[in-house]
Amino acid sequence: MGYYPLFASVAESGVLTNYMSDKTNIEQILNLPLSEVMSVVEWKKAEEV
Amino acid sequence: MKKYTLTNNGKEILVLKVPEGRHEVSYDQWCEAYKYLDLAQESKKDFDDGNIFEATQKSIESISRLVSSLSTGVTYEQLIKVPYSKINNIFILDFGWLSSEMPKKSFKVKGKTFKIPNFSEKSAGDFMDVMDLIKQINDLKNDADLGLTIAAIYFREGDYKQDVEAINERKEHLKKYAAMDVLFSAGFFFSNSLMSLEKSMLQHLELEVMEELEKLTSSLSGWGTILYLQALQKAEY
Repeated sequence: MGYYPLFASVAESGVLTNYMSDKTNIEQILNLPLSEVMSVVEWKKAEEV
Repeated sequence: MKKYTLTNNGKEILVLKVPEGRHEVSYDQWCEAYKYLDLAQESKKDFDDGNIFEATQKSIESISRLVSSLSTGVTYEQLIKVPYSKINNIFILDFGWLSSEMPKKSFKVKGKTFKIPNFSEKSAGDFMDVMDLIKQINDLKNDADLGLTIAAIYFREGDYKQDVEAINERKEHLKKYAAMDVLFSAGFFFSNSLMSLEKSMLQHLELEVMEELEKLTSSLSGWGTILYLQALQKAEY
């Protein structure tokens, strides 16, 4: 799956534990609304820059 | 459906029913009509190049193929025996919806309600599945297959769990029971959603998303517009 690595990286980064302590594995992240996950992806990208 | 009884010299030669919108067209009918999309595009090119005879031949075949594929009770072989002016009139009068029909948000598919969702509020997993399965479609211009894939993924209940077999089962169900208005609308609104995502938050994924967007163009709508203009030109002569 093309987006799996992207979403998995969100899980692995532990970024979501900052405000969603129970959302730390890929299965849980894939169940989150797309807009929430994408917001984290954007935030994570901005942090890397 | 609108029923036509075609006559020649007062004698009944053909009875056919033509659809009044995508809600009366099946997936299989759309795919059959889609085979002749190239013919309409070739006709347009010939017309633009000044090859009027070739353009006319191709547009006549393309219109006749489209009318016979989307209607019931008639084959292409039966239709081409009918004076072309009658087919041209049916096309002008009854197929305008091909290029002007608006997508809808709510449907009944075999008694079950299906509402086009707000895709950004649906799960990331569903989005991931759509983007991946769209990439696997060989013919990227066929909006029936694109819409079918999107509708099959979101036509589910409960939490997200990746299950390609279940998606394929829902595809077969939708092929059988959903009309083209469902598939057209699913593709249309998902495409809109992608554009919105691309603008708001997917800057780093721009290239990938734009590639998917290009696949979601509604090719048969374009085909309808081309043929409609040509049919009107003929009617003026």
